[in-house]
Amino acid sequence: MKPRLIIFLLALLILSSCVIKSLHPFYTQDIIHFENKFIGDWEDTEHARWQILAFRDVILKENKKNNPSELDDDQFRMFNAYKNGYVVYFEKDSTKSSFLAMPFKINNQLFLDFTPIEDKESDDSKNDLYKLHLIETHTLAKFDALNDNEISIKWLSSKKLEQLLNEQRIKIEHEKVGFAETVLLTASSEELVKFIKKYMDSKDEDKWKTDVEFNLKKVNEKQ
Amino acid sequence: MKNSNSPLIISHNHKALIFNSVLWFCSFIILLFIFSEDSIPKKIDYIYTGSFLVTIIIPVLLNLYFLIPKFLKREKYFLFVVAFITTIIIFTQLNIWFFDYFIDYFFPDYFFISYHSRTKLITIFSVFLLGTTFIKLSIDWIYFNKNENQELKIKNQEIQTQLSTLRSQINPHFLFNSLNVIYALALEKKEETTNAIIQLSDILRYVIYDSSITQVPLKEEIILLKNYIEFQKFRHHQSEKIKFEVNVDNDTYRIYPMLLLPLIENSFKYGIKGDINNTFIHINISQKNEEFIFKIENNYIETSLIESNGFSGIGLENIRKNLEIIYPNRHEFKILKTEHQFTVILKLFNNEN
Repeated sequence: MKPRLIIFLLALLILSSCVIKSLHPFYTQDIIHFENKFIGDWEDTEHARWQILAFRDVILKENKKNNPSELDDDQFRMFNAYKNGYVVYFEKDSTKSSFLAMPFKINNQLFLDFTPIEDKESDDSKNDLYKLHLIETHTLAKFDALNDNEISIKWLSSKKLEQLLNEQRIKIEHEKVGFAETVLLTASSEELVKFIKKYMDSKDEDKWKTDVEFNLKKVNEKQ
Repeated sequence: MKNSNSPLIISHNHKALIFNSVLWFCSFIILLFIFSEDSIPKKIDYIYTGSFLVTIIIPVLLNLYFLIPKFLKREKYFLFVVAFITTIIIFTQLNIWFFDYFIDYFFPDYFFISYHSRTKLITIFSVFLLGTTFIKLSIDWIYFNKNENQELKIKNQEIQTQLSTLRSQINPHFLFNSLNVIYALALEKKEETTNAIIQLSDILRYVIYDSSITQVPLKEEIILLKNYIEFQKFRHHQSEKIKFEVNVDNDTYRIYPMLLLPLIENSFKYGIKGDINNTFIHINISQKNEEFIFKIENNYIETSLIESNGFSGIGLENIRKNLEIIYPNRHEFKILKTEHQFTVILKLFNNEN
């Protein structure tokens, strides 16, 4: 095996195993909670730009409609499903990707369910064979407003889940997928909500410790 | 009946511990492999299965020891079905609450997430309760059969004892009369005394050995009767007045032994003895198409009835009891009395009438 390929696979292994991924959303409709504070332009500590928009505004604007009833059936169905969500545009080092983030609250704690929408770099790439093998998954992030202009987003680390699985202390439907044997949760959304509740109640002090954490500061619009 | 049931009930209750031990051990093994979903059971599977059993033991025991005896066995089917379904619904919900909230108090380090939907839980509870109901009913049925068999055995023993008692009452009665006959012959120093003794010994051989068999061929019973009549002729001199007619299609027709002799015996005792001048005994045996008829007529006067406490004394009463036991609903026993004649008719059928 070529050294370059080994490095690539190792990188893939590290990247793919850092956050918990799920086939199904981490929320159920009854716990969705739209938080206006998240809307706006943000910048993280590594100077990446985060533009957060309400999904309902984006879908109407992209379809050049003023009213949801003017949307076609598919768009209208999508509008209803994600009207309380956000579209997150993430721009770093001249690369841009976008995500659908659905906010929900469990025991007064706000979470975000992230699903990728598009990645400009890979969309522009002419070599799309690799992309054909990918599937969008859901990831779970804990959202905390530190103050009016500062928020924290922490993705739930997969290490904790893998530890629970290895120690045979959890029974949750999952599969190990791909070359890196990434743990992919296949449990239903109801079961995932149940898991989050139990995880929040667990005594583990490091339960929110993660490698994927962003502290965002609001960007002044005049800048 | 109550007395014979009591030990079985005690024995049954005594075995409830064994029944439940086996039931719950087997249930644990089966559920463990179901919950492990075809993989080797893990520590969390053992904990979950054990906890799950705790939630299902209560409704199962409630069903086995309250709903089934109180409703199902008392044929209150509607109440049973309602209570059964209510039990399933309530305890399924309790199971959900148990694993959503209470299990964390006992096992805070474990995450019981992906197990069963409400529908699947209701199915598991229903199957479990129905299964244990069928097991319980099957075991009860086995016990019931065992009980029935024991009762039948006891009943058979009782019948055998009763029959033996009846025979033991017949034999001395007959022997007493026969010895009287020989005694009378000996007093008169008749040559026939020795023949009479031989004939009596033939009769007694039959009585002692053959009468212990459940049924004998009719021809053997007829030989006995003929021997007896011949024996009686030694004593009485009106042999021409004793008629014995046999009209049998099938002489292998089987009959309960020693059934007819007491009737003939009593005729000789009270008929011939009763009225010397007009004495007679007419015996008729016929058998055709599985129907057997025995008819005996003899002369009769009121004094003989008084002396013997009636023909329905010990002999007749024994025959009645015998017939009720050995030919239940398959016989007809008639006694006809006129001023000078006493008639007994016995009919035996192969089928119940």
